[in-house]
Amino acid sequence: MTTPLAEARDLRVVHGARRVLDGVSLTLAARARVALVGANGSGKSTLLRAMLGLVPLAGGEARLGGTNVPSLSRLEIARRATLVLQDTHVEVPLTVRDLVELGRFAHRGTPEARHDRARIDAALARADVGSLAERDVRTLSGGELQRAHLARALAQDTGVLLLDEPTSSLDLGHQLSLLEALRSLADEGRAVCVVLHDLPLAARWAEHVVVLAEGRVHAQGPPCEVLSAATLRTAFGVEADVELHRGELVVVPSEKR
Amino acid sequence: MSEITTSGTDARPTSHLWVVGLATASLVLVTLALCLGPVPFDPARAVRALSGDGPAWERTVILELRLPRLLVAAMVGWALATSGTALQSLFKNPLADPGVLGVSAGASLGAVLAIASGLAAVSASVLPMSAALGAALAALLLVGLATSAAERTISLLVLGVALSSLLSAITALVVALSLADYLVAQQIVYWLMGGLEARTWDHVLGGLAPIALATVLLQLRARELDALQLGEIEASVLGIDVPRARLVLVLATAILVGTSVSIAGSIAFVGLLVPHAVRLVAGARHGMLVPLSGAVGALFVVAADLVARTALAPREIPVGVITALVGAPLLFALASTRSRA
Repeated sequence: MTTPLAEARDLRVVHGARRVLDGVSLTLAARARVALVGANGSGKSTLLRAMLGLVPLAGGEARLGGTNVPSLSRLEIARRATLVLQDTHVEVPLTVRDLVELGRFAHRGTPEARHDRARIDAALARADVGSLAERDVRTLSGGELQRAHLARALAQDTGVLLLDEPTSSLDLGHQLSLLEALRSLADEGRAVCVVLHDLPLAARWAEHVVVLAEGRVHAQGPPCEVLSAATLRTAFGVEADVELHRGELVVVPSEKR
Repeated sequence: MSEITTSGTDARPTSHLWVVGLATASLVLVTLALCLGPVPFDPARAVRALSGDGPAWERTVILELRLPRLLVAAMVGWALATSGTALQSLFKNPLADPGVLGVSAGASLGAVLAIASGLAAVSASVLPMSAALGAALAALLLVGLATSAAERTISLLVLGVALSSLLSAITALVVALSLADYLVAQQIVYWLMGGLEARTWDHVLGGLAPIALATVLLQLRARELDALQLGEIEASVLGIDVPRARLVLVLATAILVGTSVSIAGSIAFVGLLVPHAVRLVAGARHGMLVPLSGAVGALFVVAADLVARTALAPREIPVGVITALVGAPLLFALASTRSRA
């Protein structure tokens, strides 16, 4: 069996008395398309950060390419995995290209740096922000900014991509094209893990869905098995009709319990 | 290893305009600074004295009085503006500045302690070193306090103001306690008044190496500053060892502020205003921003000093009065254009 690109083993994170992550395990192999779903405060964002060693662990271990994350330098981590945060607000006068170029920081002084220009241009095109390259990031709409940050992550050229609600500000067309881009990244052999709130979108895109509830993995597996009325009731506290319509998942919430 | 791997995109269309503009302004200001004064010189005489020709008294005025003063003004302006640039990006806060954050107050305390304890008399390098040490300790204390505080951007300024008041109070205490010794008190008061009057080649030579060293440190970390202004988590994701980068940057800033305070006292608003203004025009890439802020800061203080010593001649106005009189309204104007944008 090949080593997974990223792995969380029994992760525990505490904030004061609260257990934000309470023994979460997750494996991201090459070509993985994993959707992370769950109610607000269920630990999704913390899990992504913990996998990159960005929050102190109270227990468990995070690994990248088989190596324990704390034994890697930030540069080594940045060459293996990247993260697009949920809050992407930028207050400084950088152009989109400036921002995307920062994604190349970890490759400075390596042979890989020769490809900086090509990687940046490819990332701008792939995230559909090529035409915005010289725009000041402060003038972008929320959706444009999310795509600019995606381009930054793509320029980083990592095997593992973690994205925290990358579609929240996107219009329907860009949601679909972003997920399409993420699918092709996975097809290239990368591991992609995305926090999504839109369950039908998650079902459509992911091959594996992980449902978090109160810092634990509540359920996981193929979308159609996991995203059931019962899961929505227990993990989200929502009564909903869940059905398949022409092979697509349809969720019709009826009431909040 | 090249610092900027994609140099092609680094040259903004405005960069040659910057060079032309700054070179013109430098030429005009240097000429004025050397020619204006109690005894006005025409440029030809000033140039003759600079090249070591002409009457001895002319050479003394130009080479021993006006030139060192001009250079100290430029160095202090450079140091304050570059340190302000670094602090603003480091703390991700446009209001960060050595004065506001208490770093200057730390430098003053360090310098006053060196004089009061008699250590400053031992060697000429003790005073700038203790000022830099005071600045570094203040900055590190601030980093420590701000890291443990929950709401960082708001609390940082509050902490800075509190730290500044505390350090100034301790400085005042040290001054009060040393009043008994007339000679020491005189030295402290003379030093605390700061300013650019009677600056000599000792001040120039004492400040040159530390300011150059700290500038190189900042310039080598330009990409880290670019990333840090996005936030600590973002910078970490990009591959930056944030605690280490922060330590180096804080130390570089402390050297700049400490040196500047030790050769000319505290001068307000330069570190706050100049980076603000330059960022508006030049963008937020520190490879450009650091040297441009430095150059504009140098010109700003040289111009302010020119006004300070000629406006009410023969009386001199402290240069900090001019920088504050010009700086505060300019900052209001910048703030209002930014909020409209």
